[in-house]
Amino acid sequence: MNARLAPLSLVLITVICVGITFIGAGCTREAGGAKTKTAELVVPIENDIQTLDPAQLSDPFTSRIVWQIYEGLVGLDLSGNPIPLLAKSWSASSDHRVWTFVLRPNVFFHESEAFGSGKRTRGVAAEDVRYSYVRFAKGFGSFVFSGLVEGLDDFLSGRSMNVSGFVASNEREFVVRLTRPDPAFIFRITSPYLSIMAREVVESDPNAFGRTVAIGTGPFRLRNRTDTQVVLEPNPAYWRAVSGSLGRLNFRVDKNAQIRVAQFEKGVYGIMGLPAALHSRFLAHGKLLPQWTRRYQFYRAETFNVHYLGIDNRRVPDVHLRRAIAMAVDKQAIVRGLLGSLARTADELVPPGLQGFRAPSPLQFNPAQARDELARSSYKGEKLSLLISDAPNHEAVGQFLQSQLKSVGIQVELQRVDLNTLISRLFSAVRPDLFLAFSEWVFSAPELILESYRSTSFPNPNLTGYRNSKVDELIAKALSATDRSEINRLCEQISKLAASEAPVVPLYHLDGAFLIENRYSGFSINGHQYWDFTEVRAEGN
Amino acid sequence: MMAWHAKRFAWWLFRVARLLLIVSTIVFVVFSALPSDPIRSIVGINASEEAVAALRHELGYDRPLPARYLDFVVSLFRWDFGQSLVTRRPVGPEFGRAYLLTLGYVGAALGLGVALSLGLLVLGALGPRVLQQGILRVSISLTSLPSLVVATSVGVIIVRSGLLGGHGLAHGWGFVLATVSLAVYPTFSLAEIALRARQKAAFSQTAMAVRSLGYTELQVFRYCTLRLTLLPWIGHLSNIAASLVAGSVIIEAVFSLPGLGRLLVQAVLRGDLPMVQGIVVASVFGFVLLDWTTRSLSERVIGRTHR
Repeated sequence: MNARLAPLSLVLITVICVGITFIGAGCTREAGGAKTKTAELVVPIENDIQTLDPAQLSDPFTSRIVWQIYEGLVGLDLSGNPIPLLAKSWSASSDHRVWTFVLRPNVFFHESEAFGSGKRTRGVAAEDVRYSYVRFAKGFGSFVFSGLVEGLDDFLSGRSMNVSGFVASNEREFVVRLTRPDPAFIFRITSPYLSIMAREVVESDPNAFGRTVAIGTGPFRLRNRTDTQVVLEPNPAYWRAVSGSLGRLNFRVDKNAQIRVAQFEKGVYGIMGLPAALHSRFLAHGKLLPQWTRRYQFYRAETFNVHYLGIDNRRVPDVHLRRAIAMAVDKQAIVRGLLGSLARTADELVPPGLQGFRAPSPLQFNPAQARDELARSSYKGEKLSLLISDAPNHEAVGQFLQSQLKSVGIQVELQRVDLNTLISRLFSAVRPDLFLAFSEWVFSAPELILESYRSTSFPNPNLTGYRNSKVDELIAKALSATDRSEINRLCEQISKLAASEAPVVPLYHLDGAFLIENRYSGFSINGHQYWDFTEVRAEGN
Repeated sequence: MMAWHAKRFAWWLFRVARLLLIVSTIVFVVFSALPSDPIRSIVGINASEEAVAALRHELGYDRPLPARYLDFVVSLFRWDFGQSLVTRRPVGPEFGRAYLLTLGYVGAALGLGVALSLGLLVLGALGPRVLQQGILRVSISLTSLPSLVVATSVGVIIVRSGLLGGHGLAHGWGFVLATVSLAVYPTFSLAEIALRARQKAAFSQTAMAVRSLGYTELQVFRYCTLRLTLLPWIGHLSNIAASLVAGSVIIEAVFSLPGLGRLLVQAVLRGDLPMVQGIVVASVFGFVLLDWTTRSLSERVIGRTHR
């Protein structure tokens, strides 16, 4: 190489690389280059945006976005009651084996070329519901309908091309035929996961659907999407009258908690989920600190979740040992000390107050009684394995549980894995003795959640392998009862009986903690973690 | 002559293909041994056993391991990485986009690091001794900082300064800050290597002889010590490049960039073997190219030194 050219080459390479920097910066620029408006709300998302296809959705972060675009037959109000969405009414046969949904007229999909070149849209039909439910039943939604809908097992095993129990009986009527009576069926489908989509949109370009194409009937429609940002705009043809004033709803990936909070304080974001590590910066005893009240409001969302200590009942069959474990855990200390009082202690897997259900008093924290139970057990001091994942707070909670159990004489060894590995281990032959897990309930009735205790539900949702024929009998009765007070009475019996044998130790229900800039009002989150922006108003709009 | 070049190229191709096969086989074996179940992680903890079995059959994961390995090798040489288990879309376009983005800011960070380190070398070589010592001390401190600390500090400081206005890290600023954060390590690491090499070369017999003939320090540096300084510096370049790509995992998490690091972490955690395979193959090619580049550069510098 010529000596004079060598430094020039280096300069040239540097200039090219710096040029790539700015070209790359340009490539990540949002298409459309929207200016900031007062009616634009930017919301950070703590994880990568996965698919916008509701049937393949299993990620709670992306679901916040997807559920603005799509909606289902029924939803849930803030009190936890089913409300009509795309279905204006529903009815069940006398034996509760056939459920009929009448679709609302004049509900249209967002505009799409897949609907043809004319109006580029069409009304929602019963066939769309049938198609969507079949798609949903293949994946994440399989457990909602498993063993319940006629023809589903044949469909999943490949013996049939269709699910005979999902029927579009006419343009406006969708029918579900069940294999057994199920008065609680309506509470199985209130989750936004069961969203309605159009076949021609999904199948016209399968690679684009869920990536750059997302066509639903929801209050917002997709304006554009990059790998780190999804921009939505209001659906001008939405079937329901809403009073929100947002002109743009912008979800932006921002994974680093410190940078996210810094951007929130600079006014880039209007709403932010408060990272657990930074609670003390903004909150004290679950309330916003005075220095922030001029700028922000604190919103606390009670959603359907439970974090619990699972006990493998086959590896730990000794009831006395399980009871000792249950009574050794101070849940109040976990909630106050580790979670900043932004959770509620859990007496049962069921969220308190769901359809009026309140769990009877479980085994209380009592170290002396825990030692008594341990003395009556066959425990000889061997180490029990406790599997914990990288789920938020679980490392700290796991360590706390380890020390609490040690204080009554139970030795525990922590094993840390990522969440996917924990899930796989629970379904494999290499199961741990104890595990720290959480459930975000798709159902909205206590009897459906308490099915987790049913012995035939092993391994899913009965992850612990708990078996009690009396509990099975009570669950079957609760599922076939139609009177809510009778159902709740049966659920109380189930809960009391199961709690006495401690198959699991419910720990806490984690609440969502959000800071919202004072210029925004009208935001709410329901029990299914559906973020409702339809009534959000910005000051001056 | 042509035949000789063709033979050499064919031999190089064979070595690359062999390397690809070995690395990909290691990836396949490791993934097959992982405790996580990719099918279960796709459909979620709540999916029924029937649904898991149906998907496992659809994706061919219920076939014996040797049959799956054979398909894997055949697809590798057909350059068909198949569909991502997670997104069910072709792997190529997805990691191609991520690859270009990561290449862009890693290349820019490397270029920036190269330019700044050469600048620091010149300053340290020609400035007062105390300046050289100062640069060395700063270099040692900054190169020992983890990239997470550097990246988060840069991000928080810039955001809090208000320089980015109301848009924050949108509109490409995340990309710029990622480049700047990533450039810290190569800048100071290369500067430290170069300055130490220069210290040694500056007091070599050749340099002292040239100085005694009345040449200025600049002339001694330019005609005598610079090439000796550049040799270890170039050698360190390929190590730096590899570590920058590895560091992209952290940088992309901090600045939420949709690059290769993020894609690789996601694919590994979810057991997405086709995606990991695609990334590994592309990375092997990248490193082979980088290795060839740095070796050629070194040979040229050595050649000039011995003239």
